[in-house]
Amino acid sequence: MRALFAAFRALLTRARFEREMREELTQHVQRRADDLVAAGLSRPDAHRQARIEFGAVEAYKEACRDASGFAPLRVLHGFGADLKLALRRLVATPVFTLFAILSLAVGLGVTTAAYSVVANLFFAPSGTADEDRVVVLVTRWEGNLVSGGISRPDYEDVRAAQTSFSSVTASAGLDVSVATPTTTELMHAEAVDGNYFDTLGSRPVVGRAIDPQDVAGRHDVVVLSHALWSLRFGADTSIVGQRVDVAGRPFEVAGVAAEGFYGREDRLTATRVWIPLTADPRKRSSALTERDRQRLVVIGRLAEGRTIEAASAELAALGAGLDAAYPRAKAVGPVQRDWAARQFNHSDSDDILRSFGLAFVALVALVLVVACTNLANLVLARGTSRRQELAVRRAIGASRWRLVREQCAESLLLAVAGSAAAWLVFSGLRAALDIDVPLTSKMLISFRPELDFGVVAVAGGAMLLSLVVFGLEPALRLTRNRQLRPDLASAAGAAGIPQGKRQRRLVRWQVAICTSFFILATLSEKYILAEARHDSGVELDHIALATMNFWAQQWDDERAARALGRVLEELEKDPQVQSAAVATGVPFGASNAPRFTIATTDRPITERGAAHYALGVAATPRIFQTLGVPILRGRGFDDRDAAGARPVVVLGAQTARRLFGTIEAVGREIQVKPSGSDGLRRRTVARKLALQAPSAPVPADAEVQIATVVGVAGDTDIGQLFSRRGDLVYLPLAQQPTTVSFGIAIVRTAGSPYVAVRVVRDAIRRVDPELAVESSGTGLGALGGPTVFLRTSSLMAMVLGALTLLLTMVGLYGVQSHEVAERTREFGVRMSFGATAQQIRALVLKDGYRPVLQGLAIGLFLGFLGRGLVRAFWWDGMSVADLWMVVAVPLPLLLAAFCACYFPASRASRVDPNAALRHL
Amino acid sequence: MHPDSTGILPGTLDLLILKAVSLGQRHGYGVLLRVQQMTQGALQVEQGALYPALYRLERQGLLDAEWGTSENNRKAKFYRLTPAGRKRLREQTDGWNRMVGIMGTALNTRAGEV
Repeated sequence: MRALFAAFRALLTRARFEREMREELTQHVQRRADDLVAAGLSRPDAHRQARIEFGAVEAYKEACRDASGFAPLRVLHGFGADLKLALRRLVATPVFTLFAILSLAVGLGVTTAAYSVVANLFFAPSGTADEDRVVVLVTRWEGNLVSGGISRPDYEDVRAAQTSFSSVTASAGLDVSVATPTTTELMHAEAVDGNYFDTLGSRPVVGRAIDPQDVAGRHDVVVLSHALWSLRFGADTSIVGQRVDVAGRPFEVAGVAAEGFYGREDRLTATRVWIPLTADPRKRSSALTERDRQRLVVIGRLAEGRTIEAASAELAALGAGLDAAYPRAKAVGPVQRDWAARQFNHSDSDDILRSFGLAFVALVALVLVVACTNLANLVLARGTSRRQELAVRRAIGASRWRLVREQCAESLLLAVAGSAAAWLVFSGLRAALDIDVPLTSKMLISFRPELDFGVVAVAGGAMLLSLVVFGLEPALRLTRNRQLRPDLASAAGAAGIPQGKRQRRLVRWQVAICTSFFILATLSEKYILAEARHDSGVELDHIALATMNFWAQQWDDERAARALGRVLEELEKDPQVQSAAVATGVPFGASNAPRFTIATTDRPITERGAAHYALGVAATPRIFQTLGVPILRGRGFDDRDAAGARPVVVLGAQTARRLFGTIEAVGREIQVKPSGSDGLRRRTVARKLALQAPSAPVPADAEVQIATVVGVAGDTDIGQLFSRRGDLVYLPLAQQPTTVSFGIAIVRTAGSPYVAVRVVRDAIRRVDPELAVESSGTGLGALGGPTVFLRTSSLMAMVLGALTLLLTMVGLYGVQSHEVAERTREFGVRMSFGATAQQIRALVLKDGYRPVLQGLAIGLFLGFLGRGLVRAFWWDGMSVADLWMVVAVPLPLLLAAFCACYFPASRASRVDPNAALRHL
Repeated sequence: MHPDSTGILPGTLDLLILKAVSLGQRHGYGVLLRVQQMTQGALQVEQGALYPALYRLERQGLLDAEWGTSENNRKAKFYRLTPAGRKRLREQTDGWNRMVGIMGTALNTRAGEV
């Protein structure tokens, strides 16, 4: 800092010195001229004479600078002139300048934006202090490590007996409704023990954390997450002490957790509120003893000097002891307390996210590599094209420093312009990427690119390095000695083997990277192609919906049904709503719809092979219009289908076929029985990312109902978008046989679905401020789910691929043009010996294509390797290589390469042999 | 041509400048006129050569300079002797005189005197 200040002061002093010196010398000449005029000379003559007598003024100025100790700054003296010259040279070659700046802008802007998105999503610190020392108690069960499932007495016994931890705490996850000033939402919460925040080492930013007195005294206090506080409470610091309704009960705000602290879950299911363990608002089922009520996750901080292995061993011993003392007869989860300790915050979904993020970072780094090599290529080509100029200037006395300095000035200008362009690109991307991508109905991925200075330093450093190293290299190499090297100075020298070898090698790797990008982008090709021509059966474009989880809020059936009815009334009053319906589920997207077993009446429903599992959508009559599902035969629901009336159902077309074959289904009877939960379990990236939503319990005494099929509806996707596997049955909401645990309000609007989302939310709030919205969104946003995520990632791979393609081709074009210019004389010689224009063109094209073809081969290999890795780690259902990829992916590359090579080649074929040979 | 090659004995110009300034504060052109007067025009240097010498002496702390207004109301940089400059002038004048004496004696020596 002090050095900087001194340099700055020196600069100021120097400016003053220059000004005064100029003034003094001018005064001298003027005084002398005055005297000469007095002596009889005319004014012009006097001035001329005075200047002659004074001598070489610039040389004396330089001597004065020396004498005054400003000599060291002479190194920089004239740098302004260098800059001017460099600017002029850059303007004179607009193509080079444009491409170089483009490379810089992409390399810096895109990579920093992409990286900061990923870092923000996957690598942000969890807010837990010394995370390495925090472990979570897990149970080995069916080959997995399961966290949670510890009962309160077990937890207390472990806490009392253990010696491995300096502190042990517990937390129970739950979804509760939280009434914020604008909406009531269902949020993920943790009911925690008093030492939870201390154990995790997180300090609240406002107010206090939950402390042992809160737990002991059963105080209804709540700690808000930083995100919730800033998004819903306007980051109001006077929030402490205010009342917030949690699960319909008034809680006092104790404090706000630190920014970025998301509790014990992964960052997608970030905890939004914390309450004391004893203030858990959920009702307890009296059927279970305390030992059997297993709902705690136990977290401990390792004591000084203890390892995780030692802690594991101790926990295993404690578990075995508890098994002996309180054997579990039957449990929902593991029966044995086969305990161990696992690193905190290493859940499967976090690991997957992290590996996904790392893969993305690797791809981004590849783009940076391409941008760097591209820049290197451009400046290298430019440097070599100046060989002759440099050699001659060096020979006639330009100092090495002078020549290198010129090159530095040029690099500096490019770097400045490139950074400015990169900033524009980054700002554009930041505006464009400021979006939320829904993963499931409850989870969002928020892209919020933040400028990360570390990344800017790495990317900027890499770009600058390639700029300076490759820019200076030719200048340094050429100016190593002063003698005029004959191969450089003579015209014939340049006709030898050109310098392009290294540049072609760079092009080869660029093509390779680019190809592998495209191969990777084909990962979700099925989804993209399918989406383009897929009809989900539901017109998603103009619908908005909001879901409510009555089960999580512990509302009874009657209250839930009443609320749903009133929500519908409210919605139908709104002029923007074309049609509205409330239901217990939708055919796909929202995973909480109840499931039913259905069968024809000729065989018992319990018989194997007779029963079909179907998703049951219990809804109000206008569900079909609202979703845009056509009634193919028969009728939809209407007012006749009331609670006491004859039970009716509408079947999906596929389900009707399955049950009745070619026989008309309308008018026939089927057996309907509520059944268990989700039968659609597939191992996909999407499913791994999505955490399972709790499914509603099914009453054990559910009865088989005989219902008449009154209509057949058009087929829709079932379970999730793009999936037709499974059956679907619609029931009138009034006749719904199971508990209403889950509600969904859907509206169809002629206007913007985004506005309609607000309409739905407002209606729900008007009906009952305690009724929490679990999730809400537009049709595609809320129901598209993982597809949107897949589409986004694949789109990103495509964009990155296209960017690298563009960069690579720009580089290739630059190299080829440069080569053609270099080899003009060679072509002249060849043509004078009878080579035709076609032959010359073919020669240049061949030279240009060789690195592209090599790169393609490498890239295809790398791409398929990448797909193999993806298959191995994330997605076992996909194929590693399809024939069409080998054909389709290289095509755009070859085309682009042709464009990049053709123009230089045709320029080469137009070389006039006479003109070329004249300089030989 | 190097600006320092004034065609006179090395160090002489500095001494002359110090002497000229010691006779009263002067601006650059004034110093030049004074030197020319003192040497009766015998010493012909390029006028510009004066300035590097002035700047050097200023930097060595022998001269002090400040901006003022000249007799015809022009801004000018005036030089005057610092105590160090005065001391240096005295020493150099003594040295010069001694040297002239020694050299004079030496060069006037005849064959029989040694």
